[in-house]
Amino acid sequence: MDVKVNILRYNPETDRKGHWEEYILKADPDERILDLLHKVKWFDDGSLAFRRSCAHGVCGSDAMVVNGENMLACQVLVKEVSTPIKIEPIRGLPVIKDLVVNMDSFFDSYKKVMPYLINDDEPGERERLQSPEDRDRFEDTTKCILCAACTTSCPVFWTADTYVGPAAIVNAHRFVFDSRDNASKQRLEILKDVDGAFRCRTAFNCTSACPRGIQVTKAIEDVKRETLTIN
Amino acid sequence: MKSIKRTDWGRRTPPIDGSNFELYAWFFMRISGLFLVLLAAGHMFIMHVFNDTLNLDYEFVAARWDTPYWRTFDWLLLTLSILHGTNGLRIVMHDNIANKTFRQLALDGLYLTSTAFFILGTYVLVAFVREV
Amino acid sequence: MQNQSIVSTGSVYKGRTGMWLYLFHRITGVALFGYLLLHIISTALILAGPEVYEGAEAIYKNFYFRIGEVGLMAAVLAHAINGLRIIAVDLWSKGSDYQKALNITAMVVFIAIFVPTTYKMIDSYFELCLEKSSAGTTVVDCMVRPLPDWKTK
Repeated sequence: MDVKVNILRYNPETDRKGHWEEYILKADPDERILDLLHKVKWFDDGSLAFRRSCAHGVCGSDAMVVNGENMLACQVLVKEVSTPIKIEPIRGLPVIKDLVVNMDSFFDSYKKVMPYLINDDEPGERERLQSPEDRDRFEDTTKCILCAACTTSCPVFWTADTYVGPAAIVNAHRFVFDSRDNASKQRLEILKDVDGAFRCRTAFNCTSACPRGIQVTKAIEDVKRETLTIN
Repeated sequence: MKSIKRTDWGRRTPPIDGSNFELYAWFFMRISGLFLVLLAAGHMFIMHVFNDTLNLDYEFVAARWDTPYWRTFDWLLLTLSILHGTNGLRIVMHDNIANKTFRQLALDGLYLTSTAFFILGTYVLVAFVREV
Repeated sequence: MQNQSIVSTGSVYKGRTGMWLYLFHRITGVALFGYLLLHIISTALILAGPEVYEGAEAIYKNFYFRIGEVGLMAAVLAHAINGLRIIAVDLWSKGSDYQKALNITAMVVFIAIFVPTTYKMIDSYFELCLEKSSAGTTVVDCMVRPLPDWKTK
């Protein structure tokens, strides 16, 4: 079948503003949105720029706005979306070219919450053990693949790009509620300032945007309540 | 494109000696909100449903303020709604004004306005004496 | 923001109910703060005595302002009920699990309170208007013009 695809193109060398370009492609209903982008790039216009690596919903490279909603292009089939298919870069981050955005500030926010286990106690003879119940407390937030779908779906992040964003808070949550970690207090301290967790206004866009089904807003709420409890 | 300073992966960010202001502001919004649901919605129902604003006149207000109870009710409503509204607008300005100078100007204007209206409202509630 | 303006197309992000409630809460909040300031000024006129105060109040006593009052009621109720929903999501540990149910509950509760309230406010307006006006005044008269003997009881 013929599918009409509209892509928001932007070439920094020639364009001052983004513009829509229309492509008519032959596609199978079972093909992914990513396959459509490949068809454009490989057979139609080689200058189209977009990110993708594993193409199977694991690496988190190809988050984009499809028909007005954030999703991974490699996870959504043509038959699952209405035509014409409109594809835009994710919002709130500087566009480099076409669908490629500059993710530096996103990863800086991620680093800010110290997303690694901190425990200065003696390592001991064997692993640091943890009960299944303690593990379950942060099970949901271990699934994050850092695709930025949540952060760039957040209405607060669109207008205030200093906000650390849902993804960073999700990754803080993963360690704050880990019984083996000793730096929860420091992380909550970092998330307490004006650009931290209390910037969240519970619009729940992040929860519906997450391709891994993480209850993002719930995680942020957990962090807020934890901050309230320890203070 | 703006250049962003990269942070060193190995370095642990020292804990920021942050204030609890945002936490308390967030909590205050919830608690004052709860009270305002009773106070503001109560006020609206008294004025617009149980009475009709068409009947509102000097005598109505004067009779109401004859009792210290209603003066306290109105003063609580005034105080909480101004604080709740000011903090709400502070957040809106923080979110939507990117330019730091303009944002600070807007915030200063907001605080000034709120203080002035709080003083005015309190003065009216305290100083009102029935004329007739 | 610079990056937004570069590729801005004016297309709207398809957020779910939560995003629209967030936006709605902001707009009603800012509007209510503005109204609060006006309300403080008009009430402060009472210090100037009955003449001035009732003169100012008379401006509000017509059908257009009654529609405005219904709008004000809607804004207060919506902000209050949505605020309770936000409190539930924020302070109740199970709140975010039930957020869709809470969204629907908030909207149903709003309509359940707002509809009878509006009926009462509109109904009472016409009743008082016809009662206070000279004989022969019709409902249409009440809608299009403020009544001459509005201030007197």
